Amino acid sequence: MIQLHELQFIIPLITICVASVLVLIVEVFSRNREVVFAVTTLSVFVALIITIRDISYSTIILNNFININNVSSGFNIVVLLSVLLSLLESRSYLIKKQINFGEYYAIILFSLIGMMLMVMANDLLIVFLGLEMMSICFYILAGFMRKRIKSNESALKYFLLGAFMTGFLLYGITLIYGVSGTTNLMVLFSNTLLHQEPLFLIGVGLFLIGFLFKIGAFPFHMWVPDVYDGAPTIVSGFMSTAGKIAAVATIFPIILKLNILDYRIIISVVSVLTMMFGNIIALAQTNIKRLLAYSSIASAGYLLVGLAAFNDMALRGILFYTLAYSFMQLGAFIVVGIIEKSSSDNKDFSNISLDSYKGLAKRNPVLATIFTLFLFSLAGIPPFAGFWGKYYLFVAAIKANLIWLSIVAILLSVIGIYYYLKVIVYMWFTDPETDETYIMSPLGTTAIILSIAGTIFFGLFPEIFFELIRFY
Amino acid sequence: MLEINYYLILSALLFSIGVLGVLVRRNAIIIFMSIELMLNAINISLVSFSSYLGEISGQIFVFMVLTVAAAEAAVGLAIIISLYRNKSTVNIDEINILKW
Amino acid sequence: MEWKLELILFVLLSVMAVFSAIMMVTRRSPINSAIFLIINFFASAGIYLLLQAQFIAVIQVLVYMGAIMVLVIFVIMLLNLQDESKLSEQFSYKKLTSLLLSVLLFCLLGFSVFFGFSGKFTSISGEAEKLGTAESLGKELVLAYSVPFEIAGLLLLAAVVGAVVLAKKSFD
Repeated sequence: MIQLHELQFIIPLITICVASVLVLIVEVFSRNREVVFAVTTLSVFVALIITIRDISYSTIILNNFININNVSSGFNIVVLLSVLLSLLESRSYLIKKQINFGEYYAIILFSLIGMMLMVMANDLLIVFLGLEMMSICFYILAGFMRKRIKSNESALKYFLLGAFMTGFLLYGITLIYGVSGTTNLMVLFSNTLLHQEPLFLIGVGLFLIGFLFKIGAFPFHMWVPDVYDGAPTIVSGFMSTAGKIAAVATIFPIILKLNILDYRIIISVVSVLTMMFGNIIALAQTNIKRLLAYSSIASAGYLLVGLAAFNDMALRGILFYTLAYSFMQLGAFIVVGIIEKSSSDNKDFSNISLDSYKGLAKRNPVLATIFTLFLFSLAGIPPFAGFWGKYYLFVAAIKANLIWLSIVAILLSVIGIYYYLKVIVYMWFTDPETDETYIMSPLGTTAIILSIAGTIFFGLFPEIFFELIRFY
Repeated sequence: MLEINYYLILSALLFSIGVLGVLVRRNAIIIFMSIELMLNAINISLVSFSSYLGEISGQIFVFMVLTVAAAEAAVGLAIIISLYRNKSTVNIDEINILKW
Repeated sequence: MEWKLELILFVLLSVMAVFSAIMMVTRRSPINSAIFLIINFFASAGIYLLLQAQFIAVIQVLVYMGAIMVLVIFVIMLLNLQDESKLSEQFSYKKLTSLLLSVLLFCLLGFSVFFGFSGKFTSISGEAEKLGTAESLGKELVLAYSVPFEIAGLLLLAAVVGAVVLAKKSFD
């Protein structure tokens, strides 16, 4: 039975649930988008503060469905943070694109509920429901520019492939259930006899495939550039950070606690191929959104290095890399959104080719500097946060006796620096072709300042995050 | 009594036919129906495990799969309709960025 | 005697399910595909009855066939879709590869589940009959599984809101 006092552990989740319904009610009765926006942002902010306050909770509640500990709360903090940052920039972008509907905020909140549930899940049923809730909201968000063909196409592609891969994930869960007779994760972890069963391994493998798709790993990456290219820019930023982080945060503890060494080599190979694919194809891109999409595939590869290592150091690395990633990737997407929305013609996705970044430093040095810092961090140049994320992940791989993997990862991330530098050269060392001026909304500026502050602060003091979430 | 293997084989066969449909067909609605076929095949496995184990969570799982299938149907068909409004086609070969 | 009856019913229903599934995948017109899919779901409902999951069988007919497939058919009619060109006319290596891939998938899955579970579960559990009723499922759903039940409600709400946003013709 569920006790009433158990609800105090999930106040952040309840806040978001209440806010999502409230947003719908406000939208129906007043259509006042300012109120809708305020309610959404405030609820995410409150949930973030409460999660940080309650970081020391460690318990299994609600009929063994929800598991709260400092790791799941830490991942929740990162997810909430990236949702908050993308929300801040959303409003002006949506107004410019004439899609500022209240439903957008409701759907963002629904997807957030899915992500938080997934991260805190202690049962495969909750993992499945949370994942589907997140994915269905993403299909909707990708197609949110209803009048733009590209947006429709990207939603359709994401939907068909996503639903297809859900089938494999479910087949995996079915096999796990058939072998073990339960879907409770704690029972599955503790029953080590089960881990020898070939069918159990196949089941976990299929389950893993479903998650590799959501993370965007090779060979299930082909949707990433197309979907991120077609979706509204701010949504691409949101999907590539929050969605990916939630998926990694769900699958990593499962792999860590199952502790099946057979997966190590498979995940390592997948990880190498993902990094290789992301970094090498990105070299040829001339569209900034696609370039960031391939860079996010490469980032998925780095996260998979941690997944392959599955030790405590890898947990540390994944926690930190997701935090750094949410700041730098989202920051980069926000800058891309600002440049895109200030294009003089409001056609289908103008201003997203690399050419529109020519001479940015001469037209708007502040924006160019900020973008350069995000790209440096993504490339893994010290002292930015991205460097420490990669550092922890590669050290974890060495500790797991995967020295070859960390060497390959380092080499590939060196290749990665080249295409980030290409953008930087475009910005600083070419002459401008246009004389567009960039409008920065106050909220968007706040989001950028927060991301840049996070990128630099956690780059200088990486240990502070672990102290915040009491993870030593 | 039949062994569980027969039900599982049936489920695997239907699942593979669904996968074939997704890979071969070009009409978005038929691809969507093939995905429904896959989910249905999984439900057969889940129910048979549940019955043979004498454990109810498999059937609860089927419930949730049905709910998700309904939600996916609503969203997927809405996506197909909004694409059709702009492009007058649901054939994925005629869709530019769908180069898979 | 009872064993034979179960076997006969199983063979009948599974032949029906597999046949309609193959027909569904190969028909040119979407509406024919939809009808065959409904037949497939009907056969699956029969399989659920054989497995003594009465309530799931009823839900299968009501929700899958009654709601989801009606929606699909409604959309097909609304869009007035043309038939695809004949599958055999546009033979390509891509299709052959797809066919080989799915056969391979069936071999892998079929092989592993057939031999993996052989001898483990020889007969339906004695409790299955009681488990599959509306009473026991309903009790479980609102007591032990109330959390997933609530989440499913939110999921449906999100899907409805999303479907309205995407398919609505114009906003104010």
